[in-house]
Amino acid sequence: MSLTNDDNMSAHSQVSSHFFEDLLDSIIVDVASECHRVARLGLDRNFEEEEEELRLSAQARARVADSSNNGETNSKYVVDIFGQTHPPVANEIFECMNCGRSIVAGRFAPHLEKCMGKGRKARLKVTRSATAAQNRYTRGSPGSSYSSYSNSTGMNRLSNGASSGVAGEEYSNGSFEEL
Amino acid sequence: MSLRNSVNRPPTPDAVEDQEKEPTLQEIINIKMIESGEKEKLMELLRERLVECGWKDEMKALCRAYIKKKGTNNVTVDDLVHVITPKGRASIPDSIKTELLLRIRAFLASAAL
Repeated sequence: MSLTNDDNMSAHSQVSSHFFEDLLDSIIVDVASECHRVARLGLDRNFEEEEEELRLSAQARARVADSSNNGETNSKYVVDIFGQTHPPVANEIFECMNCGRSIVAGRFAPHLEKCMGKGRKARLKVTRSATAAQNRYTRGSPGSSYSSYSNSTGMNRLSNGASSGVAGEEYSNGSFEEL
Repeated sequence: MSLRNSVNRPPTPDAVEDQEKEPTLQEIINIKMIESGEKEKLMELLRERLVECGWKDEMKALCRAYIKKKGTNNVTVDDLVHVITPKGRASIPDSIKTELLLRIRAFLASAAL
């Protein structure tokens, strides 16, 4: 064969790269097809929740902006011993550490419930970890009366799942230990 | 005796040498990879790495954003593939790419190609 070693090497690299690209393309098609399926079948609960939350957050923000103008709300203002008044809907807007969305403080608790796992819906939230892990925890039934128990399994899942990011780590250090 | 035309057909021309059908190196590799099961292993390895590093989640987020914009019923798989392919190819971490390429080349070497 008249191929030098160098020719061989570059032919090899070319073929290898080409093969890698092929593998990657197949995986990309798989991911696209999976997303398409989830969207079409309405399997992504977060999708509808997100839209509802955006609407609610927008409403809350609108209320906050209006509250200074609204005579009715003014009468509900409680004056505390320092003479300060507190608006009915908490003002500040900040970022949820779990999902990264900007939430009005007054809507933060309900948002966390959905986001972090008190309810059945949140537990069904699709995360990076295997569906097996998910199924294990959803067996701690939605009708369970032990709200602290289901809370902890929610937290548990977060600390185990690789996708939880910062929030998961925080909670696994905190409340998880107490149990 | 006159020769019947039907018997005296001109000889069948030789089949044209299908030289373009000779398998290219690329095709040979592909076949060997599939036959030995290495392709499947590499695919699984790549999938695993891409999930670990968050690449898959990024792609899924891109898809969701696009679907949200376009409306769930107006999106085809093909659309999504076109949406994520450029970003997908570009955002592969180098370490993963290197790992896979090394394995592929090791296979090539061991298959004495």
